[in-house]
Amino acid sequence: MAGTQKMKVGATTVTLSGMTGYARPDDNNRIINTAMDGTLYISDFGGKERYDIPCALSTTDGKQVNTWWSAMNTIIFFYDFDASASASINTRIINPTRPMEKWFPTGWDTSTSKYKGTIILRQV
Amino acid sequence: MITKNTAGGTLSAGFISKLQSTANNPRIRFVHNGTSYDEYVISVSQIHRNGTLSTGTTIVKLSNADQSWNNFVDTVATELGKTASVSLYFEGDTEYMPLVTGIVNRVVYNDPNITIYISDRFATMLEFPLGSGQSPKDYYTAGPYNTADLIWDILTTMGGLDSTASSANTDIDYDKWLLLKNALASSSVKARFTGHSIQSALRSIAAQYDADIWVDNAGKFNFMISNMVLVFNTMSTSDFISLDLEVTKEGMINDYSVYFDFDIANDAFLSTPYTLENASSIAAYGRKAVTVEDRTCWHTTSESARQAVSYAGNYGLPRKWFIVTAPFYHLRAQIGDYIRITEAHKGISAEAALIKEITIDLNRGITIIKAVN
Repeated sequence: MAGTQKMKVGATTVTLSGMTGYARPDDNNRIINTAMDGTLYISDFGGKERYDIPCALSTTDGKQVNTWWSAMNTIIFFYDFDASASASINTRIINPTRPMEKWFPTGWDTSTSKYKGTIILRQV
Repeated sequence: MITKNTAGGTLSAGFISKLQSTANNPRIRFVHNGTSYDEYVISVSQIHRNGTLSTGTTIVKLSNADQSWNNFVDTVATELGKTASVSLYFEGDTEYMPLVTGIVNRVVYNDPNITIYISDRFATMLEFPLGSGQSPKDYYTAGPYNTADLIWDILTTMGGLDSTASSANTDIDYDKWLLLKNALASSSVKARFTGHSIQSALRSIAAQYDADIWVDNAGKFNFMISNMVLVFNTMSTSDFISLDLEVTKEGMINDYSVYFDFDIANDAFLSTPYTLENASSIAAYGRKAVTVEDRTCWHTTSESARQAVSYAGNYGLPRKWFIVTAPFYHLRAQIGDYIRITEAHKGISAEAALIKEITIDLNRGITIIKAVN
């Protein structure tokens, strides 16, 4: 699980704190061919970063993420904000459906998180 | 062999080394109207070319999520028809090897993507009719011509292509054309076209010599006749993913006759045909005879007919078709190159075959080469 991560479009930022289920799968476009004598040929057409980030957000941030998804905005993603406040990549949200859904916390939950979902970010 | 990069310079040793490495980082470049749009490319279809001037189409699927490609809708008259190309480069390099160069002749919007169809930029020109029944295109009053000169005039005077007689020609591979002209030094032909398209005229001329004419990866007309250029790609089992071989009597000729010295006024050939037979082949396989009586494009001398026959296939032996599936290592192979194949299982040892067709499949990282011995 990553530490603090941030999404930013223009002056608007949304801070993410990863939850269980966080993943950073490979997204490589790689071709492997084997010649008749066994010689291996590998062509890597370029890997791109991908992040699957389960999170719970405030109403404001949850709506903002859905707005970015809807508008297909390019999002500057600070993937390890604790270690570096400047290291970032350009991403887009590639969820096939709206990433954040409104939810109702249990009675004893005092958090302000009113939106929950898994954001899938893909480097562009 | 592809030797030129997109800038017209010679492909560097470093590029070739990366191409032939067993591990590399290729990238696809898509250029439309002089601007590159690599980041929009989702997929590229197979790229195919053969020597019979069939104007193949390459299909490129691009993202239109940010509506960059809506200009085909807004200004359809000017956008369709602009140049487009697909080329290959390696991560971190600025050198590009062209794979296909043509024009956009069709686009289809499949939201959020757009599919662009690239065809040879000469496709329209090839449909242009040469003369008509009422007013034939006259290549018989003057002349006779070297066959290569006839092809040149059809392409430049009739087809409107660049007539610069040097390597600087933008539409025709002049160096290859010159090799063709030298190879056909004994040719002496006249022609009378009555509405034939440029494509069908060139095809019938090429067929007389078993020659190939095609538009190459850089978008130039190219020519090949057997033994014209001896470029050998040596291939063994480390070079191909699979090797298919077909041995067939199809295409074998052992009795070849060509009429020559045509008289238009009498609609008759004035000489007996030039004939070449291969007696031992006839005894072994039966007579496979071809008689050419071409009243559209004809030889004026016996020597010219003899030369055509010498190229056009008194093979006398069954033909061997090799279908080689190779990795990117052999992406530079061209129609007209020879490959020299060794493969122990089928007992093939250093057999030379002339490449007649090439298919590039970027999605599978392979080059499929069809060659004939």
